[in-house]
Amino acid sequence: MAQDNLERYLPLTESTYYILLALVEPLHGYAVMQRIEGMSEGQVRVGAGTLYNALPLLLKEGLIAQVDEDSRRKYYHLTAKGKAVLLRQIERLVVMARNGQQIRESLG
Amino acid sequence: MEEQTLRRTRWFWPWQDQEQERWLREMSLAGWHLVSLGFATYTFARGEPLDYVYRLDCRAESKKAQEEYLQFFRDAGWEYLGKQGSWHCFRQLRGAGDLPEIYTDAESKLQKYRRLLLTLLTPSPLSMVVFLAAMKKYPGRHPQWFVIMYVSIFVVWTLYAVVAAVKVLMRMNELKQIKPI
Repeated sequence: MAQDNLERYLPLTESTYYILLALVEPLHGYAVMQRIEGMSEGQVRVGAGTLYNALPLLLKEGLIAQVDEDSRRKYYHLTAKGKAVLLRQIERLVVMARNGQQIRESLG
Repeated sequence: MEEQTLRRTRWFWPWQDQEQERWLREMSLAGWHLVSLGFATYTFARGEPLDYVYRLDCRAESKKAQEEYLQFFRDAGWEYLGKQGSWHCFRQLRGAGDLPEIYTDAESKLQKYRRLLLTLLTPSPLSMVVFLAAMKKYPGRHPQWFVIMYVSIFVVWTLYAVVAAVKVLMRMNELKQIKPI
């Protein structure tokens, strides 16, 4: 797998970033929404329609995979590729946050 | 005795989804809750005034995909009220905080309007293709009144679709302006 191919996904949108964060463990759609709202302390909400559009796209790109299907719900999980993309995004955000903090300090 | 159900006829253009959502919410706030919807008709049942927030989604899918789609929305707390054309109508009681939304970013809102454009713009050219194929296959077998009638319907239909598409494109343009910079 060519590593540089992953760069084209970056930066992730806020919704995609949080969907991937939530899917470090297998979850079904609704659980993804709840997890995102909980983990972001209510700051980020991903609506049912937004998530319903995003999941097939992430599947197609191989960033997530379907792991299980009970009678009614599909479960999704981060793939190795998805994990690699997510880690790069986190790396970017860490730098961005650090830059912001430095500037904030200098502004006193 | 007071009337318990109410049937209202009201026409909304395809680009007036937000107006329709707002109107349905006002009806619920006045104690009339949507029960079902049909072509430009709405049936309401009398009840306590409630702050139901209505959301319309445009989606044309196969039966199996649709079931999955509706289940997905139900799981997320949306009550399904029915479908009119390719518009699906959902509602949810407003809780504390922001209004419940099915689309939470500009990109997915734009995707909804892209699907709407497709459902507006495909049927009339498609009908013309079928019409021309029929003309070619059975030449001289179509009475003149039929041709005139079809062409008139086609013209009106296409004009309607184009006007609607322009209106939808204007809405999409507004959305692009408020996209995060």
